[in-house]
Amino acid sequence: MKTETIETLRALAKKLGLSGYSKLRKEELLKLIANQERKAGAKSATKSQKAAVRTGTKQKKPRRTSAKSASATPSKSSPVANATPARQTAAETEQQVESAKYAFALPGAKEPTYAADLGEDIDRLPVIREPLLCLLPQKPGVLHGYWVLPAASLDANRSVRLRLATYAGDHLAILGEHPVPSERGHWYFHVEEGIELGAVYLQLGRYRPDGEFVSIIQRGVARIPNLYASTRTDRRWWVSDAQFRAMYRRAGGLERGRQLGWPGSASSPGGPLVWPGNISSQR
Amino acid sequence: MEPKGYFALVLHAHLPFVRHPEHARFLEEDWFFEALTETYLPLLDVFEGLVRDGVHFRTTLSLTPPLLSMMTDPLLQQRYLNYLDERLEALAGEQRRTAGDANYHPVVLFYTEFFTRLRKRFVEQDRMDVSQSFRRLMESGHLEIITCGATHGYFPLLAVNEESIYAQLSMAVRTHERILGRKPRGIWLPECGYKPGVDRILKEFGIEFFILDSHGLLNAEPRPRYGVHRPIRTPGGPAAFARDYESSKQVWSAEEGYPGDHLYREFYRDAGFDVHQPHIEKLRHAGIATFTGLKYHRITGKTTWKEPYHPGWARDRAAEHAGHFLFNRQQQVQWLTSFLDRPPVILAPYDAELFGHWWFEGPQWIDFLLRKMAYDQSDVKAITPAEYIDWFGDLQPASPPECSWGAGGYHEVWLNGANDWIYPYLHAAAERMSALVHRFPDALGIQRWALDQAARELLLAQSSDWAFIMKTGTSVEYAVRRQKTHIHRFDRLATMAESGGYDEGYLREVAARDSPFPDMDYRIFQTRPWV
Repeated sequence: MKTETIETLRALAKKLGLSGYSKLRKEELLKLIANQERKAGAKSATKSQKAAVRTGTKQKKPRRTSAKSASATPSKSSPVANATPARQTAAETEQQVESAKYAFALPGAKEPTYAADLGEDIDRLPVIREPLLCLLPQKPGVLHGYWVLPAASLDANRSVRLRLATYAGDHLAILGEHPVPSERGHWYFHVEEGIELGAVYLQLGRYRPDGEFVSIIQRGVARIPNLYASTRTDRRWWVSDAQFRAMYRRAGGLERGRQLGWPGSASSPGGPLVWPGNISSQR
Repeated sequence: MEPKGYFALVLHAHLPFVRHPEHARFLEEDWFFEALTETYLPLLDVFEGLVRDGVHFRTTLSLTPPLLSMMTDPLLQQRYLNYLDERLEALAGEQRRTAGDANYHPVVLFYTEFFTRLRKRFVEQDRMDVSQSFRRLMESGHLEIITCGATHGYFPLLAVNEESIYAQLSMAVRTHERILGRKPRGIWLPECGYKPGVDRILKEFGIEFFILDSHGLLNAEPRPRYGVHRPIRTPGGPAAFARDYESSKQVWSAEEGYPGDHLYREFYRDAGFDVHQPHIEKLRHAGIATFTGLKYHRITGKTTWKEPYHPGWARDRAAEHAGHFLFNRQQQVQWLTSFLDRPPVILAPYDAELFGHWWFEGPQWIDFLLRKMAYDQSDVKAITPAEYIDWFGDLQPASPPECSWGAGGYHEVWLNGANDWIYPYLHAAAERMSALVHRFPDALGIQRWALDQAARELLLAQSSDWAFIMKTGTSVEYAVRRQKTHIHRFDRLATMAESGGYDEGYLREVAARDSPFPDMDYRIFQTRPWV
């Protein structure tokens, strides 16, 4: 919401039926709208509706912590969600509509339970026998690593560590490190924007007494998804900067100074990816 | 006169494979029946009407392999007929209940006529198999039907095992050809999930184009000369088209989107919750009040009070909205042609189920839009992506970045705290399956049967729908259950093949339940096309 222009916020305030908003500064306006939404949220009947408001007003919080509460709420007729359309991106609306395909009743209804079919023990999954280490990109700035090791393969002092590394010139630069407390687990690595990240590797290993890291398993290569428009143009397919910017903006992209980026990245966790202030978007 | 630009409407029709012969009635099978009732059959009505009236139109439709499998499944066909009959019976009760009610009786009559007409066309015209009605529209050149992953597996997160991508594509191309009679020229990548390298694999399957979200082209390397308004040539060979944000927004946006109009039908108000009489309660599943599809109200406004639905008014509004949409596309094309030297294409992809299921009047809107496009103007002409590359094949080479059309634009919807637990199982299973293919390159008899069924279970486990549902919070228990069930079944079948100890009774039971892809060949799990 903080990335919205003052005009958008005023329009939202009007829609919410607020008065006296026209002379407020942006911060005051944000506060006023947030208060109004809290009131509306308190009135709403279902838990999930409240969750949608919470998710919406704290956009900078890492999404994965609020995964279960995100946008499954019907907004088509719900007074709360209808009152806050500016927060919902087109992609979120799509997600909501797509999930309507799987709706069987009103939100919050209890699902029927079925007895085990062919004797599958639903609460206990089969054991994974081969050791696994995997690195997956989640979104710009966030990589997901998981490991599965044979049962009871970790020694008592638990000295095994998980490292995220990349080659910087002739040496290995460590981007993140995490202890490996158990035979199975996963970790979300937040990596900063700006490093030339062609490829990153995930290593699982331990430090020798002399400080050297011995890798037991190593996995790569994950590429960091691209955030920005290329700055390179093709000679044969030359496009002027002004024309490209105009098309980029109309297509929902954002620009800051000379950089052009996609709004999907604007609220990513990991700090540096959020563009502070001056974001213009032709919405 | 040559048009200034082109418009490509792309509808992505998909549902996960849900079929439970072990139960007499099964709630989640209703997903398919609702989509047939409100989306697939009404769309067929629209397209056939356009053909009958000689209107020029082109539309692209992705029919995913699970959806094609359900459309052609005799058990589900019979159950859909029961679904229609149950509703017609309930509507007879509703006619009695609302007799003399000037507000609701007309709506009940509208639904009675609607379900009667659908039943008649489903039995007499479609002969219970709607895939063949879509095929006829494809053969007459009006519809371009494209494929998808075999079970809508999300490629960027499955690509750890390249065999999985080949398996998803091999089974998709086989199913498409088996049911529709042709190889697909294009593909809807599941969730538009793209990872560099997928383009090269698509080329091996003879696939000529795919579709990305806007940033897939906008952030391509180097800068695309035409933004999202012409496809690019990917390094692997196929053309990549991109979604036009402006036209998407007009339909999707909660703020300016059409489906929220107050005259349109309200999705969440349903007789299943409002009417407490035996003829409606008969439609319940295990005593739980669920959607019946009998929805009598219009959106009305931001109130809990809802006015009765008026189909005629809603229809007029759909016509207005179609006119508005077309006018904006004309403006857009005029702006684009002011500085582009080749005819632009505006590609507008949507979930097919948006039209009809969520936005009840959506199929009518498509009808009006295509008619107006053909008769009311000459700036914009309807086209399919395949036609576009046939006519204007001189494409700029560029490499798209990793991306998807999910919220956030990348992989977060399918990889987050709610569903990240599934990936170790999926990756381990894929590794195990391809090891089995290497070990038994020519399995026969019961070994072949077990391996084929194991491959089916793995494909079903790879369906991105389970991860999506876990994230969005609708029907989560069912999704988790399906995900785990397929992991279990795969494990048991793989163990049988590895150890040589087969349980024929179990094999028979599993094969009766998870039955898509009758032409399954477990050797799809290797790094080359197996079609």
